[in-house]
Amino acid sequence: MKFQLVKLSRFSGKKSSIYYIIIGDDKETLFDKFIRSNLSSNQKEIEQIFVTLDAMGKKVGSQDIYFRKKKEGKAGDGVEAMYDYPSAKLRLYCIRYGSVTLILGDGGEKFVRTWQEDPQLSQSAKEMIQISKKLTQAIREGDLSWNGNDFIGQFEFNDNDE
Amino acid sequence: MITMNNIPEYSSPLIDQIYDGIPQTTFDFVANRMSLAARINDAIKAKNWTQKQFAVAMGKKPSEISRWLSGTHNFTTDTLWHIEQVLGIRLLADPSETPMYVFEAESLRKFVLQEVNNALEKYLSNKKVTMI
Repeated sequence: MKFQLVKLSRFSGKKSSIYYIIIGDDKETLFDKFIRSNLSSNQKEIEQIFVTLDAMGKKVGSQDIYFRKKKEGKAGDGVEAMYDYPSAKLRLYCIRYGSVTLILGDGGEKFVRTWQEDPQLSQSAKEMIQISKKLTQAIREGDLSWNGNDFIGQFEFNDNDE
Repeated sequence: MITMNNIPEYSSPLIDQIYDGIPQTTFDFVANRMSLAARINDAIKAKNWTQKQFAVAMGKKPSEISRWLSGTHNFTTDTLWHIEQVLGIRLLADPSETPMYVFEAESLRKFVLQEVNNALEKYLSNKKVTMI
C-alpha cells in the first residue's frame, strides 16, 4: 500500500496539528473524497465535522473525549471515529496521537450497527488500520517524529519500505 | 536514514469553500461547548476519578457522561449547577458577582432624551401661563 501524509493548515493550530492521507497517485486526500461523497446528502454533518476539527486544532486539542470509545475497530489498532450527535449518519475515521496530532481518513454513511457489516465502511476502516500500523512502525523506528505538535520525517510510505 | 523534513502542506479548494461558508458564530458556539466539556473532564481527572466514578457520583449512566464530555451536549443550567457541586468547580457565573448591563441603542437613547426635553418645555410653558 502506497500513501502520503500531508498537512492542511486550515484546521491545524496551537493545540493540534491535523493531517490528511493521499493514497497512491491520487490527486486529492481521503478526507476530500469523504466530503465529496457526502456533501449533498449530509451537508450539515459535514459542517459540524469542520467546526469540530477547527476547535480541536485551535482551541481544545484532539482529546480522547471527542472520539467514540468503542465499536469502531479493535482496541489498539489506532483507528477511532469522531464522536457525533445521536442522530448523525456519518462516520469519519481518524488516527490520533495524544491530543496533539490527528490524521483524518475516510468514512461514510453508517446505517448498520458495526463497520464490519458495511462493505464501504469496512474497506475504509481496514485501510486506516493498515496505515496506522505503518505509521506506528515508522515512529518506533525513528523515521517519523514530532517537532512540537508537527510531524517531521518520513511522509511517503509504500509496501516496499523496509 | 530519513531526513527530518516538515510534512508538505496541502490546499484544497473544496475544503476552503465549505470552511469559508460557515459563520464565525458557529465556530465559536461549537468551540465553547467543547471547551466546557474539556473543563469538566479536567476536573474529573483532578479528582483522580474515572468517568465511571463521576457517573456514579452524578447518578447517571457512563454512556451519558461520554456524551456530556464529547462536546456535543447542550447542558441545562441545573445540570451544570449539579456538576459544580459534585466536582467542586465553577462553571456558571454567579449573578450576584456579575453586573447587569442594559444595552440601549443610540437611537432609543436620543428618542428618550428628546421626549424628556419636550415634556420639560411643555411643563415650563404651562407654568408661565399659569403664573401670568
